[in-house]
Amino acid sequence: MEPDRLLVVEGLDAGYGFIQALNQVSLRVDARSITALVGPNGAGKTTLLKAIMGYVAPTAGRISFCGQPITSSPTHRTVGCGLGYVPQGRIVFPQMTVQENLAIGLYLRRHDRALRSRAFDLIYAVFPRLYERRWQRAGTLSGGEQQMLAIGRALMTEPKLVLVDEPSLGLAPNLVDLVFETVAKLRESGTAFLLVEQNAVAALEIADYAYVLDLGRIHLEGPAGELMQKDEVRQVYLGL
Amino acid sequence: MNTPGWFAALLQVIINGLLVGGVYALSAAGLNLVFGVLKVANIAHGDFMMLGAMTAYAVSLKLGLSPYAAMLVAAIVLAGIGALTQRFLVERVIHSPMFVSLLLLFAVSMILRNGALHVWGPTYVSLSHDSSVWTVGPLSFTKLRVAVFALGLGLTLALLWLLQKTAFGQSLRATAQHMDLAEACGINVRRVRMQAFALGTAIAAMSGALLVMLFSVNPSMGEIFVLKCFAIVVVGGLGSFSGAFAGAMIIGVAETLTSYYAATQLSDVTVFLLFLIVLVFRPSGVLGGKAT
Repeated sequence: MEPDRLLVVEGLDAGYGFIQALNQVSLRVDARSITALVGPNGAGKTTLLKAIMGYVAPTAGRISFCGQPITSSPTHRTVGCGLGYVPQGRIVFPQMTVQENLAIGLYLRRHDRALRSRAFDLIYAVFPRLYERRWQRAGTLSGGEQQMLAIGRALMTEPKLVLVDEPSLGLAPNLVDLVFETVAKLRESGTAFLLVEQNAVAALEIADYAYVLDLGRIHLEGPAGELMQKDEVRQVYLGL
Repeated sequence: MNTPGWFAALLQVIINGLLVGGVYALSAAGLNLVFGVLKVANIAHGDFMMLGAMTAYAVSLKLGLSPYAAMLVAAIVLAGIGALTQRFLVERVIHSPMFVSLLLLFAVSMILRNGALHVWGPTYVSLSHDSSVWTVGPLSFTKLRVAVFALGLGLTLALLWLLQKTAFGQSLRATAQHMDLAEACGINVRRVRMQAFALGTAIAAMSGALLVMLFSVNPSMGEIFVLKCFAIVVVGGLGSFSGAFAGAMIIGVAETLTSYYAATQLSDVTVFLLFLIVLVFRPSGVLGGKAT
Protein backbone atom coordinates (compact mmCIF):
# COMPACT_ATOMS: atom_id res chain seq x y z
CA MET A 1 0.00 0.00 0.00
CA GLU A 2 1.51 3.30 -1.05
CA PRO A 3 1.15 5.88 1.68
CA ASP A 4 -0.47 8.56 -0.44
CA ARG A 5 -3.39 6.42 -1.57
CA LEU A 6 -6.38 7.60 0.41
CA LEU A 7 -9.28 5.78 -1.16
CA VAL A 8 -9.06 2.52 -3.07
CA VAL A 9 -12.10 0.94 -4.72
CA GLU A 10 -11.59 -2.49 -6.31
CA GLY A 11 -14.00 -4.45 -8.50
CA LEU A 12 -17.13 -2.90 -7.06
CA ASP A 13 -20.59 -4.17 -8.05
CA ALA A 14 -23.72 -2.51 -6.71
CA GLY A 15 -27.30 -2.14 -7.76
CA TYR A 16 -30.92 -1.70 -6.86
CA GLY A 17 -33.02 -4.84 -7.22
CA PHE A 18 -32.48 -6.22 -10.72
CA ILE A 19 -30.72 -3.13 -11.99
CA GLN A 20 -26.95 -3.34 -11.76
CA ALA A 21 -25.75 0.23 -11.43
CA LEU A 22 -22.02 -0.49 -10.98
CA ASN A 23 -20.05 -3.18 -12.74
CA GLN A 24 -16.50 -4.01 -11.64
CA VAL A 25 -15.62 -0.43 -10.81
CA SER A 26 -12.07 0.24 -9.63
CA LEU A 27 -10.82 3.69 -8.71
CA ARG A 28 -8.36 5.37 -6.42
CA VAL A 29 -7.95 8.82 -4.94
CA ASP A 30 -4.58 10.07 -3.76
CA ALA A 31 -4.00 12.36 -0.82
CA ARG A 32 -4.19 16.11 -1.59
CA SER A 33 -5.54 15.51 -5.07
CA ILE A 34 -8.68 16.36 -6.98
CA THR A 35 -10.09 13.38 -8.81
CA ALA A 36 -12.96 13.95 -11.21
CA LEU A 37 -15.61 11.38 -11.98
CA VAL A 38 -17.47 12.32 -15.12
CA GLY A 39 -19.95 10.62 -17.38
CA PRO A 40 -23.50 10.91 -18.66
CA ASN A 41 -26.69 10.90 -16.62
CA GLY A 42 -27.47 7.51 -15.13
CA ALA A 43 -23.89 6.28 -15.49
CA GLY A 44 -23.78 5.28 -11.81
CA LYS A 45 -21.73 8.19 -10.45
CA THR A 46 -24.03 8.93 -7.53
CA THR A 47 -24.40 5.22 -6.76
CA LEU A 48 -20.61 4.90 -6.57
CA LEU A 49 -20.41 7.75 -4.04
CA LYS A 50 -23.28 6.22 -2.05
CA ALA A 51 -21.57 2.84 -2.03
CA ILE A 52 -18.34 4.41 -0.76
CA MET A 53 -20.31 6.23 1.95
CA GLY A 54 -22.18 3.09 3.00
CA TYR A 55 -25.66 4.18 1.90
CA VAL A 56 -25.76 1.47 -0.75
CA ALA A 57 -24.42 -2.01 0.03
CA PRO A 58 -22.12 -3.30 -2.71
CA THR A 59 -22.74 -6.87 -3.92
CA ALA A 60 -19.06 -7.46 -4.73
CA GLY A 61 -15.72 -5.72 -4.45
CA ARG A 62 -13.75 -3.91 -1.80
CA ILE A 63 -13.40 -0.34 -0.58
CA SER A 64 -10.63 0.85 1.68
CA PHE A 65 -9.89 4.26 3.12
CA CYS A 66 -6.50 5.13 4.65
CA GLY A 67 -5.66 1.44 4.48
CA GLN A 68 -8.75 0.46 6.51
CA PRO A 69 -11.46 -1.67 4.89
CA ILE A 70 -14.75 0.28 4.87
CA THR A 71 -16.80 -1.95 2.55
CA SER A 72 -20.39 -2.00 3.86
CA SER A 73 -19.43 -0.23 7.06
CA PRO A 74 -22.20 2.03 8.42
CA THR A 75 -22.13 5.60 7.13
CA HIS A 76 -21.51 7.23 10.50
CA ARG A 77 -18.42 5.06 10.98
CA THR A 78 -17.08 5.85 7.51
CA VAL A 79 -17.51 9.54 8.29
CA GLY A 80 -15.61 8.98 11.52
CA CYS A 81 -12.63 7.72 9.50
CA GLY A 82 -12.26 11.17 7.92
CA LEU A 83 -14.49 11.00 4.87
CA GLY A 84 -16.77 13.95 4.09
CA TYR A 85 -19.81 13.83 1.82
CA VAL A 86 -21.71 16.57 0.01
CA PRO A 87 -24.82 14.90 -1.44
CA GLN A 88 -26.45 16.04 -4.64
CA GLY A 89 -29.13 18.72 -4.44
CA ARG A 90 -27.87 21.31 -1.92
CA ILE A 91 -28.98 19.25 1.07
CA VAL A 92 -29.05 21.18 4.36
CA PHE A 93 -31.05 20.94 7.61
CA PRO A 94 -33.75 23.41 6.56
CA GLN A 95 -35.13 24.32 10.01
CA MET A 96 -31.72 24.99 11.51
CA THR A 97 -29.72 28.16 11.20
CA VAL A 98 -26.54 28.35 9.15
CA GLN A 99 -24.52 28.27 12.37
CA GLU A 100 -26.36 25.16 13.62
CA ASN A 101 -25.86 23.37 10.31
CA LEU A 102 -22.13 23.94 10.57
CA ALA A 103 -22.14 22.92 14.23
CA ILE A 104 -23.77 19.60 13.31
CA GLY A 105 -21.01 19.09 10.78
CA LEU A 106 -18.74 19.05 13.85
CA TYR A 107 -20.88 16.44 15.61
CA LEU A 108 -18.24 13.72 15.79
CA ARG A 109 -15.58 16.08 17.09
CA ARG A 110 -17.82 18.46 19.02
CA HIS A 111 -15.62 18.35 22.12
CA ASP A 112 -12.56 19.58 20.24
CA ARG A 113 -12.70 23.30 21.02
CA ALA A 114 -9.61 24.22 19.04
CA LEU A 115 -11.03 22.52 15.96
CA ARG A 116 -14.39 24.25 16.48
CA SER A 117 -12.98 27.76 16.30
CA ARG A 118 -10.54 26.85 13.52
CA ALA A 119 -13.28 25.23 11.41
CA PHE A 120 -15.76 28.09 11.84
CA ASP A 121 -13.03 30.61 11.00
CA LEU A 122 -12.07 28.69 7.87
CA ILE A 123 -15.61 28.22 6.53
CA TYR A 124 -16.62 31.82 7.22
CA ALA A 125 -13.41 33.05 5.58
CA VAL A 126 -14.04 30.94 2.48
CA PHE A 127 -17.74 31.81 2.34
CA PRO A 128 -18.28 35.30 3.82
CA ARG A 129 -21.92 35.09 2.67
CA LEU A 130 -22.51 32.33 5.18
CA TYR A 131 -21.12 34.51 7.95
CA GLU A 132 -23.54 37.30 7.03
CA ARG A 133 -26.42 34.84 7.18
CA ARG A 134 -25.28 32.78 10.12
CA TRP A 135 -28.51 33.31 12.14
CA GLN A 136 -30.78 32.68 9.18
CA ARG A 137 -32.64 29.38 8.72
CA ALA A 138 -30.94 27.28 6.06
CA GLY A 139 -34.27 26.64 4.34
CA THR A 140 -34.56 30.35 3.53
CA LEU A 141 -31.15 30.65 1.83
CA SER A 142 -30.71 30.92 -1.93
CA GLY A 143 -29.65 27.83 -3.86
CA GLY A 144 -26.06 28.98 -4.11
CA GLU A 145 -25.85 29.78 -0.41
CA GLN A 146 -27.29 26.37 0.42
CA GLN A 147 -24.61 24.73 -1.69
CA MET A 148 -21.91 26.73 0.10
CA LEU A 149 -23.42 25.62 3.39
CA ALA A 150 -23.56 21.99 2.27
CA ILE A 151 -19.88 22.09 1.32
CA GLY A 152 -18.93 24.02 4.46
CA ARG A 153 -20.77 21.53 6.66
CA ALA A 154 -18.85 18.62 5.13
CA LEU A 155 -15.52 20.39 5.77
CA MET A 156 -16.06 21.12 9.47
CA THR A 157 -14.27 18.05 10.81
CA GLU A 158 -11.30 18.64 8.48
CA PRO A 159 -11.84 15.40 6.53
CA LYS A 160 -8.98 13.95 4.53
CA LEU A 161 -11.25 13.35 1.55
CA VAL A 162 -14.55 14.91 0.55
CA LEU A 163 -16.90 13.29 -1.95
CA VAL A 164 -18.83 16.02 -3.75
CA ASP A 165 -21.85 15.10 -5.88
CA GLU A 166 -22.77 17.57 -8.64
CA PRO A 167 -21.86 20.79 -6.81
CA SER A 168 -22.65 22.99 -9.79
CA LEU A 169 -26.10 21.58 -10.55
CA GLY A 170 -28.64 24.39 -10.79
CA LEU A 171 -26.21 27.13 -9.77
CA ALA A 172 -25.73 30.45 -11.56
CA PRO A 173 -22.47 30.58 -13.58
CA ASN A 174 -20.67 32.95 -11.20
CA LEU A 175 -21.46 30.62 -8.29
CA VAL A 176 -20.25 27.62 -10.27
CA ASP A 177 -16.91 29.39 -10.63
CA LEU A 178 -16.85 30.15 -6.91
CA VAL A 179 -17.51 26.52 -6.03
CA PHE A 180 -14.70 25.25 -8.27
CA GLU A 181 -12.29 27.94 -7.07
CA THR A 182 -13.09 26.97 -3.50
CA VAL A 183 -12.44 23.29 -4.14
CA ALA A 184 -9.12 24.16 -5.78
CA LYS A 185 -8.19 26.44 -2.88
CA LEU A 186 -9.05 23.84 -0.24
CA ARG A 187 -6.95 21.25 -2.03
CA GLU A 188 -3.99 23.59 -1.53
CA SER A 189 -4.60 23.38 2.22
CA GLY A 190 -4.45 19.57 2.10
CA THR A 191 -7.95 18.23 1.50
CA ALA A 192 -8.52 15.71 -1.28
CA PHE A 193 -11.68 15.71 -3.37
CA LEU A 194 -13.56 13.18 -5.43
CA LEU A 195 -15.70 15.35 -7.64
CA VAL A 196 -18.72 14.05 -9.53
CA GLU A 197 -19.76 16.50 -12.21
CA GLN A 198 -21.92 16.74 -15.27
CA ASN A 199 -20.15 19.99 -16.00
CA ALA A 200 -17.20 17.86 -17.09
CA VAL A 201 -15.04 20.59 -18.61
CA ALA A 202 -14.99 22.62 -15.41
CA ALA A 203 -14.27 19.51 -13.35
CA LEU A 204 -11.42 18.35 -15.60
CA GLU A 205 -9.88 21.82 -15.54
CA ILE A 206 -9.23 21.66 -11.79
CA ALA A 207 -8.73 17.88 -11.47
CA ASP A 208 -5.42 16.01 -11.36
CA TYR A 209 -6.83 12.70 -12.42
CA ALA A 210 -10.14 11.67 -13.92
CA TYR A 211 -12.36 8.68 -14.54
CA VAL A 212 -15.09 8.41 -17.14
CA LEU A 213 -17.96 6.26 -15.92
CA ASP A 214 -20.51 5.04 -18.45
CA LEU A 215 -23.26 2.45 -17.98
CA GLY A 216 -21.79 1.44 -14.64
CA ARG A 217 -18.27 0.73 -15.92
CA ILE A 218 -15.08 2.75 -15.84
CA HIS A 219 -14.73 3.55 -19.51
CA LEU A 220 -11.55 5.62 -19.47
CA GLU A 221 -9.15 7.00 -16.94
CA GLY A 222 -6.04 9.11 -16.91
CA PRO A 223 -4.53 12.44 -15.91
CA ALA A 224 -7.26 15.05 -16.37
CA GLY A 225 -5.22 17.10 -18.85
CA GLU A 226 -4.64 14.10 -21.09
CA LEU A 227 -8.29 13.02 -21.01
CA MET A 228 -9.35 16.48 -22.07
CA GLN A 229 -7.25 16.22 -25.20
CA LYS A 230 -8.70 12.89 -26.33
CA ASP A 231 -11.09 13.25 -29.26
CA GLU A 232 -13.42 10.57 -27.94
CA VAL A 233 -13.77 12.28 -24.60
CA ARG A 234 -14.22 15.68 -26.23
CA GLN A 235 -16.94 14.49 -28.57
CA VAL A 236 -18.87 11.99 -26.46
CA TYR A 237 -18.57 13.33 -22.93
CA LEU A 238 -17.64 16.98 -23.20
CA GLY A 239 -19.72 17.88 -26.24
CA LEU A 240 -16.90 19.95 -27.70
CA MET B 1 -64.27 42.53 43.83
CA ASN B 2 -67.68 41.46 42.71
CA THR B 3 -67.47 38.75 40.05
CA PRO B 4 -70.76 37.53 38.58
CA GLY B 5 -71.35 33.88 39.42
CA TRP B 6 -71.56 32.71 35.82
CA PHE B 7 -68.24 34.32 35.00
CA ALA B 8 -66.45 32.79 37.97
CA ALA B 9 -67.84 29.40 36.97
CA LEU B 10 -66.66 29.82 33.38
CA LEU B 11 -63.21 30.90 34.53
CA GLN B 12 -63.04 27.93 36.88
CA VAL B 13 -63.95 25.50 34.09
CA ILE B 14 -61.34 27.00 31.76
CA ILE B 15 -58.68 26.79 34.47
CA ASN B 16 -59.54 23.16 35.13
CA GLY B 17 -59.20 22.49 31.42
CA LEU B 18 -55.82 24.17 31.24
CA LEU B 19 -54.63 22.22 34.28
CA VAL B 20 -55.46 18.91 32.56
CA GLY B 21 -53.85 20.29 29.39
CA GLY B 22 -50.42 20.18 31.05
CA VAL B 23 -50.44 16.36 31.06
CA TYR B 24 -51.85 16.24 27.54
CA ALA B 25 -49.06 18.52 26.38
CA LEU B 26 -46.44 16.19 27.82
CA SER B 27 -48.00 13.11 26.28
CA ALA B 28 -48.43 14.75 22.88
CA ALA B 29 -44.78 15.88 22.95
CA GLY B 30 -43.75 12.22 23.25
CA LEU B 31 -45.91 11.23 20.30
CA ASN B 32 -44.57 14.15 18.28
CA LEU B 33 -40.98 13.23 19.07
CA VAL B 34 -41.39 9.68 17.79
CA PHE B 35 -43.23 10.87 14.70
CA GLY B 36 -40.61 13.50 13.98
CA VAL B 37 -37.55 11.29 14.31
CA LEU B 38 -38.86 7.92 13.07
CA LYS B 39 -41.70 9.11 10.78
CA VAL B 40 -43.81 6.52 12.54
CA ALA B 41 -47.31 7.15 13.94
CA ASN B 42 -47.10 5.38 17.27
CA ILE B 43 -50.60 3.96 17.61
CA ALA B 44 -49.45 2.13 20.76
CA HIS B 45 -48.65 5.44 22.49
CA GLY B 46 -51.83 5.29 24.61
CA ASP B 47 -50.99 1.77 25.75
CA PHE B 48 -47.52 2.87 26.77
CA MET B 49 -49.30 5.60 28.78
CA MET B 50 -51.49 2.90 30.31
CA LEU B 51 -48.48 0.70 31.14
CA GLY B 52 -46.85 3.74 32.75
CA ALA B 53 -49.98 4.40 34.78
CA MET B 54 -50.37 0.78 35.87
CA THR B 55 -46.66 0.42 36.64
CA ALA B 56 -46.70 3.57 38.73
CA TYR B 57 -49.83 2.34 40.49
CA ALA B 58 -48.39 -1.11 41.18
CA VAL B 59 -45.00 0.20 42.29
CA SER B 60 -46.54 2.82 44.53
CA LEU B 61 -48.83 0.27 46.16
CA LYS B 62 -46.34 -2.59 46.53
CA LEU B 63 -43.24 -0.60 47.50
CA GLY B 64 -44.98 2.28 49.21
CA LEU B 65 -43.31 4.85 46.97
CA SER B 66 -44.76 8.32 46.57
CA PRO B 67 -46.69 8.79 43.29
CA TYR B 68 -43.88 11.02 42.02
CA ALA B 69 -41.15 8.47 42.71
CA ALA B 70 -43.40 5.82 41.17
CA MET B 71 -43.65 8.00 38.06
CA LEU B 72 -39.86 7.93 37.68
CA VAL B 73 -39.77 4.16 38.08
CA ALA B 74 -42.49 3.83 35.43
CA ALA B 75 -40.49 6.10 33.10
CA ILE B 76 -37.35 3.98 33.43
CA VAL B 77 -39.21 0.68 32.99
CA LEU B 78 -41.10 1.96 29.95
CA ALA B 79 -37.96 3.45 28.40
CA GLY B 80 -36.54 -0.07 28.46
CA ILE B 81 -39.69 -1.58 26.96
CA GLY B 82 -39.73 1.18 24.33
CA ALA B 83 -36.08 0.60 23.41
CA LEU B 84 -36.71 -3.13 22.94
CA THR B 85 -39.91 -2.53 20.94
CA GLN B 86 -38.03 -0.20 18.63
CA ARG B 87 -34.87 -2.27 18.27
CA PHE B 88 -36.54 -5.61 17.58
CA LEU B 89 -39.82 -4.61 15.93
CA VAL B 90 -40.14 -1.06 14.61
CA GLU B 91 -36.55 -0.84 13.34
CA ARG B 92 -37.17 -3.82 11.06
CA VAL B 93 -39.95 -2.06 9.17
CA ILE B 94 -38.52 1.47 9.38
CA HIS B 95 -37.90 1.68 5.62
CA SER B 96 -41.25 0.12 4.70
CA PRO B 97 -44.33 2.17 3.86
CA MET B 98 -45.90 3.87 6.88
CA PHE B 99 -48.91 1.52 7.07
CA VAL B 100 -46.57 -1.39 7.88
CA SER B 101 -45.27 0.26 11.04
CA LEU B 102 -48.81 1.42 11.82
CA LEU B 103 -50.10 -2.17 11.68
CA LEU B 104 -47.10 -3.43 13.63
CA LEU B 105 -47.70 -0.93 16.41
CA PHE B 106 -51.42 -1.73 16.30
CA ALA B 107 -50.50 -5.33 17.09
CA VAL B 108 -48.22 -4.15 19.91
CA SER B 109 -51.10 -2.05 21.21
CA MET B 110 -53.51 -5.02 21.21
CA ILE B 111 -50.98 -7.23 22.98
CA LEU B 112 -50.20 -4.64 25.65
CA ARG B 113 -53.84 -3.72 26.25
CA ASN B 114 -55.20 -7.25 26.46
CA GLY B 115 -52.16 -8.50 28.35
CA ALA B 116 -52.71 -5.74 30.90
CA LEU B 117 -56.43 -6.59 31.08
CA HIS B 118 -55.45 -10.14 31.88
CA VAL B 119 -52.96 -9.10 34.58
CA TRP B 120 -54.83 -6.26 36.24
CA GLY B 121 -58.45 -6.88 35.19
CA PRO B 122 -60.83 -4.20 33.96
CA THR B 123 -61.23 -2.46 37.31
CA TYR B 124 -60.44 1.23 37.56
CA VAL B 125 -57.56 2.32 39.77
CA SER B 126 -56.36 5.68 41.00
CA LEU B 127 -53.26 6.68 42.91
CA SER B 128 -54.09 9.77 44.85
CA HIS B 129 -57.23 11.14 46.39
CA ASP B 130 -55.83 14.29 47.89
CA SER B 131 -58.52 16.88 47.24
CA SER B 132 -57.23 19.81 49.27
CA VAL B 133 -57.63 23.13 47.49
CA TRP B 134 -56.22 26.65 47.35
CA THR B 135 -58.91 29.30 47.20
CA VAL B 136 -58.31 32.55 45.37
CA GLY B 137 -61.41 34.75 45.48
CA PRO B 138 -64.25 32.82 43.86
CA LEU B 139 -61.82 30.34 42.25
CA SER B 140 -60.46 27.18 43.75
CA PHE B 141 -57.42 25.22 42.64
CA THR B 142 -57.08 21.57 43.55
CA LYS B 143 -53.51 21.35 44.82
CA LEU B 144 -52.98 18.00 43.16
CA ARG B 145 -54.10 19.31 39.77
CA VAL B 146 -51.77 22.26 40.07
CA ALA B 147 -48.87 19.96 40.99
CA VAL B 148 -49.63 17.62 38.09
CA PHE B 149 -49.92 20.56 35.71
CA ALA B 150 -46.60 21.98 36.92
CA LEU B 151 -44.90 18.60 36.45
CA GLY B 152 -46.39 18.11 33.00
CA LEU B 153 -45.34 21.58 31.96
CA GLY B 154 -41.91 21.26 33.57
CA LEU B 155 -41.20 17.94 31.85
CA THR B 156 -42.38 19.32 28.48
CA LEU B 157 -40.03 22.29 28.87
CA ALA B 158 -37.23 19.93 29.93
CA LEU B 159 -37.78 17.97 26.73
CA LEU B 160 -37.62 21.17 24.67
CA TRP B 161 -34.42 22.16 26.43
CA LEU B 162 -32.97 18.72 25.73
CA LEU B 163 -33.88 19.02 22.05
CA GLN B 164 -32.60 22.56 21.58
CA LYS B 165 -29.56 22.78 23.81
CA THR B 166 -27.81 19.42 23.98
CA ALA B 167 -25.75 17.39 21.51
CA PHE B 168 -28.23 14.54 22.00
CA GLY B 169 -31.09 16.86 21.02
CA GLN B 170 -29.04 18.04 18.07
CA SER B 171 -28.72 14.46 16.82
CA LEU B 172 -32.48 13.93 17.23
CA ARG B 173 -33.35 17.11 15.34
CA ALA B 174 -30.86 16.40 12.59
CA THR B 175 -32.26 12.89 12.12
CA ALA B 176 -35.81 14.29 12.08
CA GLN B 177 -34.98 16.87 9.41
CA HIS B 178 -32.86 14.76 7.09
CA MET B 179 -31.90 11.21 7.98
CA ASP B 180 -29.29 10.66 5.26
CA LEU B 181 -27.61 13.98 5.92
CA ALA B 182 -27.55 13.24 9.66
CA GLU B 183 -25.63 10.05 8.84
CA ALA B 184 -23.22 12.04 6.68
CA CYS B 185 -22.52 14.15 9.79
CA GLY B 186 -21.45 11.01 11.63
CA ILE B 187 -24.69 10.51 13.57
CA ASN B 188 -25.64 6.88 14.22
CA VAL B 189 -29.27 7.19 13.12
CA ARG B 190 -30.18 3.64 14.14
CA ARG B 191 -29.18 4.44 17.68
CA VAL B 192 -30.90 7.82 17.54
CA ARG B 193 -34.15 6.14 16.46
CA MET B 194 -33.95 3.78 19.42
CA GLN B 195 -33.20 6.62 21.82
CA ALA B 196 -36.07 8.68 20.44
CA PHE B 197 -38.55 5.82 20.76
CA ALA B 198 -37.37 5.02 24.29
CA LEU B 199 -37.67 8.67 25.25
CA GLY B 200 -41.13 8.79 23.64
CA THR B 201 -42.37 5.80 25.65
CA ALA B 202 -40.79 7.14 28.84
CA ILE B 203 -42.70 10.39 28.28
CA ALA B 204 -45.89 8.41 27.64
CA ALA B 205 -45.28 6.54 30.90
CA MET B 206 -44.78 9.75 32.87
CA SER B 207 -47.95 11.30 31.47
CA GLY B 208 -49.82 8.07 32.27
CA ALA B 209 -48.45 8.15 35.82
CA LEU B 210 -49.58 11.76 36.17
CA LEU B 211 -53.06 10.92 34.83
CA VAL B 212 -53.54 8.13 37.35
CA MET B 213 -53.08 10.77 40.05
CA LEU B 214 -55.98 12.78 38.62
CA PHE B 215 -58.41 10.20 37.28
CA SER B 216 -59.34 6.60 37.69
CA VAL B 217 -57.96 4.58 34.80
CA ASN B 218 -58.01 0.95 33.68
CA PRO B 219 -56.03 -1.10 31.13
CA SER B 220 -58.30 0.08 28.30
CA MET B 221 -57.40 3.75 28.81
CA GLY B 222 -54.92 3.73 25.92
CA GLU B 223 -57.66 3.50 23.33
CA ILE B 224 -59.08 6.95 23.97
CA PHE B 225 -55.85 8.64 25.03
CA VAL B 226 -53.89 7.75 21.92
CA LEU B 227 -56.65 9.24 19.78
CA LYS B 228 -56.74 12.32 21.96
CA CYS B 229 -52.98 12.71 21.55
CA PHE B 230 -53.30 12.44 17.79
CA ALA B 231 -56.09 15.04 17.92
CA ILE B 232 -53.84 17.36 19.95
CA VAL B 233 -50.89 16.90 17.63
CA VAL B 234 -53.02 17.51 14.53
CA VAL B 235 -54.80 20.52 16.04
CA GLY B 236 -51.40 21.99 16.93
CA GLY B 237 -49.70 21.05 13.67
CA LEU B 238 -47.83 17.77 13.16
CA GLY B 239 -44.21 17.98 14.24
CA SER B 240 -44.57 21.35 16.00
CA PHE B 241 -43.85 21.27 19.74
CA SER B 242 -45.27 24.71 20.47
CA GLY B 243 -48.28 23.77 18.34
CA ALA B 244 -48.82 20.57 20.30
CA PHE B 245 -48.65 22.58 23.49
CA ALA B 246 -51.35 24.95 22.23
CA GLY B 247 -53.34 21.96 20.96
CA ALA B 248 -53.20 20.33 24.39
CA MET B 249 -54.56 23.44 26.06
CA ILE B 250 -57.31 23.84 23.45
CA ILE B 251 -58.37 20.20 23.79
CA GLY B 252 -58.22 20.30 27.60
CA VAL B 253 -60.42 23.39 27.77
CA ALA B 254 -62.83 22.16 25.07
CA GLU B 255 -63.30 18.95 27.05
CA THR B 256 -64.05 20.57 30.38
CA LEU B 257 -66.30 23.21 28.80
CA THR B 258 -68.36 20.50 27.12
CA SER B 259 -68.59 18.40 30.27
CA TYR B 260 -69.69 21.36 32.33
CA TYR B 261 -72.11 23.09 29.98
CA ALA B 262 -73.41 20.15 27.92
CA ALA B 263 -72.74 16.57 29.00
CA THR B 264 -69.68 14.55 29.98
CA GLN B 265 -70.43 11.97 27.29
CA LEU B 266 -70.17 14.73 24.69
CA SER B 267 -66.65 15.86 25.64
CA ASP B 268 -65.00 13.41 23.23
CA VAL B 269 -67.45 14.48 20.55
CA THR B 270 -66.18 18.04 20.92
CA VAL B 271 -62.55 16.89 20.86
CA PHE B 272 -62.93 14.95 17.64
CA LEU B 273 -65.15 17.59 16.04
CA LEU B 274 -62.31 20.04 16.62
CA PHE B 275 -59.91 17.47 15.19
CA LEU B 276 -62.06 17.11 12.07
CA ILE B 277 -62.49 20.85 11.61
CA VAL B 278 -58.74 21.47 11.83
CA LEU B 279 -57.96 18.51 9.58
CA VAL B 280 -60.36 19.75 6.89
CA PHE B 281 -59.94 23.52 7.08
CA ARG B 282 -56.45 24.03 8.50
CA PRO B 283 -54.48 20.83 7.98
CA SER B 284 -51.19 22.49 8.98
CA GLY B 285 -52.58 23.10 12.48
CA VAL B 286 -53.48 26.21 14.45
CA LEU B 287 -49.89 27.41 14.66
CA GLY B 288 -49.10 26.73 11.03
CA GLY B 289 -47.19 23.48 11.55
CA LYS B 290 -43.50 24.25 11.69
CA ALA B 291 -41.38 21.13 11.90
CA THR B 292 -38.85 20.57 14.68
